Amino acid sequence: MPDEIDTSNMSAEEIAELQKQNCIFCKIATKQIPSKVLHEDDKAICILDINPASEGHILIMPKEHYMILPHIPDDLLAHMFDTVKLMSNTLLKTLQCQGTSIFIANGMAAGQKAPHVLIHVFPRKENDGLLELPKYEMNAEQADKLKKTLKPYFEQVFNKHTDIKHKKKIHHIEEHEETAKKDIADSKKEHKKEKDYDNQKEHDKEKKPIKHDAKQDDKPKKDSKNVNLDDIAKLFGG
Amino acid sequence: MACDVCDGILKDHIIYENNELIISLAANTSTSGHLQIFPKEHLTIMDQVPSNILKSMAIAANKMSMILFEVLKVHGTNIIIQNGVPAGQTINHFSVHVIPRRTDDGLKLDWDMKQATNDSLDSMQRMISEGITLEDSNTQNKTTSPAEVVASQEIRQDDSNAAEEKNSEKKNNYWLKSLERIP
Repeated sequence: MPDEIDTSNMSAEEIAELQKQNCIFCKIATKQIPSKVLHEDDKAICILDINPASEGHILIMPKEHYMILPHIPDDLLAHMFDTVKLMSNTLLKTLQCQGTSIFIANGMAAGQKAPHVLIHVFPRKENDGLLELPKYEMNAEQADKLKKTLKPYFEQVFNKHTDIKHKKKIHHIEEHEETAKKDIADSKKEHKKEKDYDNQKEHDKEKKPIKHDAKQDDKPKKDSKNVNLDDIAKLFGG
Repeated sequence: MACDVCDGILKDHIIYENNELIISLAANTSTSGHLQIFPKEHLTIMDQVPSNILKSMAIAANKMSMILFEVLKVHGTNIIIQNGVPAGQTINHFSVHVIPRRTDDGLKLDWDMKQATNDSLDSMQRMISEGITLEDSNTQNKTTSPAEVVASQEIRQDDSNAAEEKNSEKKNNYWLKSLERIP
């Protein structure tokens, strides 16, 4: 964007405001740009895609400007999925198609083209070749490794933190892992000096990184908050 | 009815599970880190999924995305629902896919865009808007107590003929059947 230099001195709110002003989909939501509106309420609006994958391709978007999905509050996302279900069922009944695809692209790498969250719902027919998931062979070892890597994060996010703030918490897990390792190493030394091996093992078990994380996540670290998400959002360049 | 999810075939792939949802590595992987989220209850298509479960699934899918961003350092994610066999649904259990994306990963998760004519958009708008009004009033008339949802599923599974007769006033019954068809 040409105003990139200007934005360097702007606050996050001002940048957001600027992006909002330039967002085509915000203008569609406020009817400044005409579109084929199918349904709307105070939070979301459904329009026909002018470049459809198939006839009846619907776009569902929040009226508020959100660039990527993780920025959307849970209650709004939940509300939008009620609308998704309504749209999907309507397509199935009205157009008598045999299935529907629901598609969200999150970030440019995923094919997101507009800096405004859109949920695509479009009718499918047998062998229409529209959206097929590619195949990738993964052996049992790789799958197991991946599972082991992801599991602690899922346990943490889904068991303890139900609100959106967990983004920050996850972000720090890695550094905490480092500290945890160090702590464990330190404690090992101490233990060797004065305690027996069994105690040490017990201690190691207790020193899982996640516990450390929960303890430390109150630390204010404004700058590192949401780093990855904002990077993804920034790819749109406003 | 044989179901990979309910029969525990995916058991080894499960990453997280609570009384509502199951999150696992995808049954048919598209890329490393491809995850799938299922309702715990056996539900085949989105129409059967109670609103509260669908909402939890959506929120969970969003969180899963964020975990993939953070942990696998991916650059984006696709959240995809294949609703019905023609849409590519391979397991007869409803699910939401979360597919991690990396720049230049070469995955083709896209479609060829057509240019719609104004006429076709107009007629679509008319048809779908009417359909939405109808569907919306149907949904609101329906009581959505969990007990009734369960009951309706039992009818579908155990006694589909009787259910068909009962629902004969439901003129669009055939599409449900075509969706529930197993490949």
